[in-house]
Amino acid sequence: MKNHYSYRVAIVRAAGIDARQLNALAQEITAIAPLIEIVDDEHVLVPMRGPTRYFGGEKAVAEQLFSCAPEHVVLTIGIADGRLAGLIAARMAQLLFVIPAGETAEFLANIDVRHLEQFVDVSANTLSLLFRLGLSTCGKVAATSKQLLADRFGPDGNMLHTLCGGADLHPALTEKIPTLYYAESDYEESLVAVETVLASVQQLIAPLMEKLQGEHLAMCRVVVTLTTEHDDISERVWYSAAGFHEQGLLERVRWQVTTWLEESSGLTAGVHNIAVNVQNTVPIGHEQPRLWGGRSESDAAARMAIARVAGVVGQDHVRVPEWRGGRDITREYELVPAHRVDLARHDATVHRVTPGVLRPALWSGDMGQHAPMLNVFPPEKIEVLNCHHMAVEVSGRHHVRSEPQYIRRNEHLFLVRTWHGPWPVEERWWDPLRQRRVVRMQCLVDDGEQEHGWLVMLEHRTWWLVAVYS
Amino acid sequence: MSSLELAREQLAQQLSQHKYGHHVVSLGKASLPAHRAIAVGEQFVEVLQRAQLPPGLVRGRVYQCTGIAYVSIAVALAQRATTQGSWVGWCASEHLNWSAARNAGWCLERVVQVSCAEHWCEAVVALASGVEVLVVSIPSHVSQSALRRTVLSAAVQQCAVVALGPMNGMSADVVFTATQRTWLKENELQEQVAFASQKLSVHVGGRRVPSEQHFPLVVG
Repeated sequence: MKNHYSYRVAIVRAAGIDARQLNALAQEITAIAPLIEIVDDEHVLVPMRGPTRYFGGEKAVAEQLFSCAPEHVVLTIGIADGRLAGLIAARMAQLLFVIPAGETAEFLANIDVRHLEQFVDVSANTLSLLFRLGLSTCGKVAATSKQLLADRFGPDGNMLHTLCGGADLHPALTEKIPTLYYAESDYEESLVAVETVLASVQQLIAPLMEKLQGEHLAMCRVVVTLTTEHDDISERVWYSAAGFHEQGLLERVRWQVTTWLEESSGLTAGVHNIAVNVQNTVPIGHEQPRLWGGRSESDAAARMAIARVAGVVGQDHVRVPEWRGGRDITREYELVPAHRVDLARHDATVHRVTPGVLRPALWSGDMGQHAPMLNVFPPEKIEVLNCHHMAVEVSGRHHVRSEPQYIRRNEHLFLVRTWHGPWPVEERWWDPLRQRRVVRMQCLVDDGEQEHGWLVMLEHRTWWLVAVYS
Repeated sequence: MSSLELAREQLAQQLSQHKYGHHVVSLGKASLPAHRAIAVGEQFVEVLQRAQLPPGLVRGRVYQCTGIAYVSIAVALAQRATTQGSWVGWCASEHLNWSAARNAGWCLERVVQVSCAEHWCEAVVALASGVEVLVVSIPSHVSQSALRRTVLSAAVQQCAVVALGPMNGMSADVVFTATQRTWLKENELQEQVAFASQKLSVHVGGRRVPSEQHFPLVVG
């Protein structure tokens, strides 16, 4: 029977490290312990079971890990019974923070649940609700009935209960476990360019993910192995507690390939074999299939094109809209990088753009459905003037003190034909740092040639042009 | 080979085994017109038919929206495509108000925005390989020859291109030009009155338009 020592992990934190150095660090650590996981861009997970026996104790392993640090990089290490505690310990450590075996739950008991947002795939809404329910520490969450949490938060509730109790959803691998799903491909012509390798990986994992989705599963621990014609091998274990979506896994493989190609030793041949080894899966929510079954061909083609264009212009320049909410009609949606969202699951994409259930309706500042087509970003400072060329003011009761007659924009004077409003907005009044009190007006202005529709805003006695009806 | 091409080949094989099969040489794309046009809203269907054009966005063709409120025209033109399963690539202003697009009826789950001033041509060609409608704003630094090559590549990939504003000297197949605008209001009976929509007078022309037309278009 396995005890606490079986699942001990060390989290190595290298704050401010760049991708190349992280790869170098990972390679050094691999020489000490195989099957390490790159958690994110500054954390590496090391399973402790084997190395502890080999080096004679956790502190001895920690010393070995410290010796792996690249030049000018300071490492901190947290050792615990699970990922979450390890990550928090590594963040809190001056140098080394060891939570004794069996005491992880006790350590987590007083940890604020806000730490979960940084280390666990849990939404800000869930955390906010936990706070409002009085479950402000991990200990309080762990003490709550698992059934109650599951009823209130669904699968997130189960996950939170397990993690806050000090356990791991999937304990770190200490030895190779049997493969659940496997895909491999040999290439007659070796792949040289990063984009070609990624496209080949995508072709390999896309059918695998589709097969898993058919069974309502997502891969959560994957070993991706790339082999060159000269038998150089790059092997990485990738883990995501919530399960990978296609873009998420490809983003990690991109890092694996890019850093591998940039290694100082240099590769002498192209990639001729790619293998994807799925070792763990997690259940995912049900997805309603399309009328004709499966996903549409155009969705798959679009995902391929998005990956392709990201290779041309960079991942952060390919974005998709995501619902943010709020009362500012120009900021209800925000563009987020496409590689950070799941484009493969139809329900996830619909959820991403669907307005929240708490969307305000019929409120005093509601401008109706007529949103301006183009935002002006950053907003342009303008002057809204009355017939005496004095600035138009709005009272505390939202009455315009004098009729707007002119708008001055970049030294050009526009005649105001008609105007509507003002519509007041008071956002986040409970938060002294982020609270905002503004009024908006629609103005139809004439530049002598044609009329323009503008949305203007008054904030702190300054008028801004925020959007145009184009 | 895409599933459409596969289906076409299978159909050709089945027909060739039929007793009249010897008449069937191959099934070209022209024999499947339904797959060539991408759906557009009712307002556009009527005017496109009057202009003796196919009632939709034809893959491989270039549509241009100019004049006043050209962004609203483009959004209205691509709206039906998003609701019927097509993906729209937006390579134009980063500051489109997505709430306005949603109010205009767009399904935002099938939209991708690309910021690509520097590698515009390469990005457009890459995106055209997977989206069916591409809304682009052409940067002034793109030469006419590069633009032609890019548009031709998009056309070969069966993508309908909707260009916003000027096209650096290149002529579009179909041009929508809004010339006049009337602002429509809502809540006339209430104290607060807001501009609810715009009624545009739109001219349809271009080198592939046999019969030029004018039509009124109400946009959000």
